[in-house]
Amino acid sequence: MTAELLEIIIPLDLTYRWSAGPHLGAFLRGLKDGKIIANRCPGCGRLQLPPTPACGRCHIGMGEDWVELSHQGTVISYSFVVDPMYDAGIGDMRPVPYTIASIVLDGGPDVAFFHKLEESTPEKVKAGMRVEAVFRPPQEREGTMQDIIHFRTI
Amino acid sequence: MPDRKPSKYTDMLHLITPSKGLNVLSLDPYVAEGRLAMPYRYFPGPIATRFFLELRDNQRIMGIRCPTCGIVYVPPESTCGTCFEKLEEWVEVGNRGVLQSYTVTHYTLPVHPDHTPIIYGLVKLDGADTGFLHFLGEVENGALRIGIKMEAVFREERVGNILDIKYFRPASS
Amino acid sequence: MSERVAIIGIGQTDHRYIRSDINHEEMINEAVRKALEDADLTIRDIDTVIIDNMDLFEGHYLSDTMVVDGAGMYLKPGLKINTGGTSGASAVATGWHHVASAVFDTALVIGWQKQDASPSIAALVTAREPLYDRDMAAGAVGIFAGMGLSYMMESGCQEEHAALARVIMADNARRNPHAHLRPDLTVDDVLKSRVLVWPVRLLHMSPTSCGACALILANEKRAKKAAKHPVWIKDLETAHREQSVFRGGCVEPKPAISAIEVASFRLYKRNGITKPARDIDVWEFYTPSSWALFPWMELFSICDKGQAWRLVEKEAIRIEGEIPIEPSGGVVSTNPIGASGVIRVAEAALQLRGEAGDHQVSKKAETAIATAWGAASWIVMFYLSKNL
Repeated sequence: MTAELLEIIIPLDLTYRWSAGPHLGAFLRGLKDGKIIANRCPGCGRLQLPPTPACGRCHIGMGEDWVELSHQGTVISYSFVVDPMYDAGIGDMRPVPYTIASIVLDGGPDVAFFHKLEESTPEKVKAGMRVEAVFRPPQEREGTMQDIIHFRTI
Repeated sequence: MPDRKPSKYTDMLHLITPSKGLNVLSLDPYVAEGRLAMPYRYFPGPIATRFFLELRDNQRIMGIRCPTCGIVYVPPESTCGTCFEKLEEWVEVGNRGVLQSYTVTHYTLPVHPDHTPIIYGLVKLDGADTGFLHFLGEVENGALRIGIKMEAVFREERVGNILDIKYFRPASS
Repeated sequence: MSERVAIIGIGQTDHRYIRSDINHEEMINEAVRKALEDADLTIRDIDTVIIDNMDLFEGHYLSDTMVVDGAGMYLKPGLKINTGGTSGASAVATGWHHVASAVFDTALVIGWQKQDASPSIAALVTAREPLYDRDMAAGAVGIFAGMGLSYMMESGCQEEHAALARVIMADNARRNPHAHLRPDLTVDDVLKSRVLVWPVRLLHMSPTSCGACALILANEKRAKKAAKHPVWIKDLETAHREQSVFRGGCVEPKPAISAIEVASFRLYKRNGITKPARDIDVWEFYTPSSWALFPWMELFSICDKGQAWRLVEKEAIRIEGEIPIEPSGGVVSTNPIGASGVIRVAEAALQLRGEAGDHQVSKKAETAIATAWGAASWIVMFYLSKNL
């Protein structure tokens, strides 16, 4: 028999429907309204961002003590994504380069917000730098993390 | 045949249609639709490769026999599960066999070919000890019964996979 | 009171970028046959089979069902495990529990991954929350970049030290016929390699590999009759962090405590290990990036905080050194993810048997620690010993 190389290519293309639930849902609806919302644990007083139903430390229900955080914050860590990568959510290569960062927003010292930075020049990004969320115009917001375009340096 | 190089992922992307990210269906309660589209590439290995190439090039269905228990597997396996023996003895099992079971589906899922009803059948080819699962076609109402003889129908254009067989139909004669 | 458990059979494939010559089941069969041959047993001597795999990478839900016959699982009891990067170690731990419980005398543990099937990073990223950060997250590289950056700032470690760590792993891998990447590297080569996310460069990260690794575990009664000197898994420990990376990035600005510290403190205390650098002869860590080596050496208490880079500078971690680390070349040389956790234990066991060939450590090896890391800072670690 020949040593012919046979390959079988089977693309998998599945559609999912995800329910955010009341807590993450409130956060995502908040984005549409131009707000970044966390919730506070009635036990230990710590914030969760994005909001969760239960506090991981106290093991009690978080309830609905919503806290609106500032749009300004401090970068604590970051990554420059430069390597091209395939994105299964869009069925295509993801546009690179871009910068992602963990940002501690004013008013929320124990949690970090994860999003993109406008700045992608390595020399211009530092831990400790101040940034501010840039939202899309209200009519373009849909209630997803993309309602924030990125965080710009201030 | 010249040795073909394995495809790169970027070569497979044309099989997937790009789309936007999440699609918000409802804000309260919040429901969004998203996607998971991945191109997968499988190398069948030497046993399955031979089986598929025989379908493609010779319109021939091959099985493989276990030296210890004597079972002839169709489609062929690399290892006999019962005996844990490596399988190497090829057996031609012909393209005709007996219908062991079948089921008629009256609705489709996205993975199905689009016509209904779709009939799956288990055919025990002459010389095989296992049933071979495939589609059944050219079936008139009331024509199917356990035990009738079936024959394989091959596609005109074959590429070297299980769909090179179009379906099994009730055998003529 | 639990049964004592030993490793009596070891088998692994040669790990490669692509295995276009065989399918998943045949690749697993290679490793299983080698393990059975090594233990001089047949599949009939195996009471239960534990197999692990990260399903999405090959696109098979219930990937174990596709490989039953070749894996020797036909009609046998067993389990399928998936815990992210640490799957292999979780599988070994599960096999250990099966035998330690006295329900089974022997267990076959199989770890495997065939990463030529898909763009793995896209599969990895689906561990992230789809509504929150999946479309921005980009795999594990960023985590190690953060680790590297913090370590450099706090300890005085330079890029050259991570480069040296990588060179040492390459030197080790060239002495290991099963390893995947076996380049002849210099520190300069590493420093010149493409930056992925600074300070992490391409050469600092593990490859995507295809491979399988199988271990046969047995209770004391069967181990004492084994063909080769049994290697005892004396103890194991698992820990993982809540508030993981997957719910909102690295949530805590400065993580208070690491799963590694928790797991290692518990394990060391139970086994009277007071000075790990002295009490343990060989270390097979699961470090997917050269930058993880330094903070993790310190978290495992091999040395004081801020000192790991000095040990690497002195090349104390080499195969000939006093604290040999990853003599197999480690995960940075070979990473078929589902198999990697099993490979760590297998390689540590080979060292204790004295069968590691060219990559056998120079010092006398009687005790070893094998670890794995994955997903939500999930750590599984094993304490292996030549003696009961």
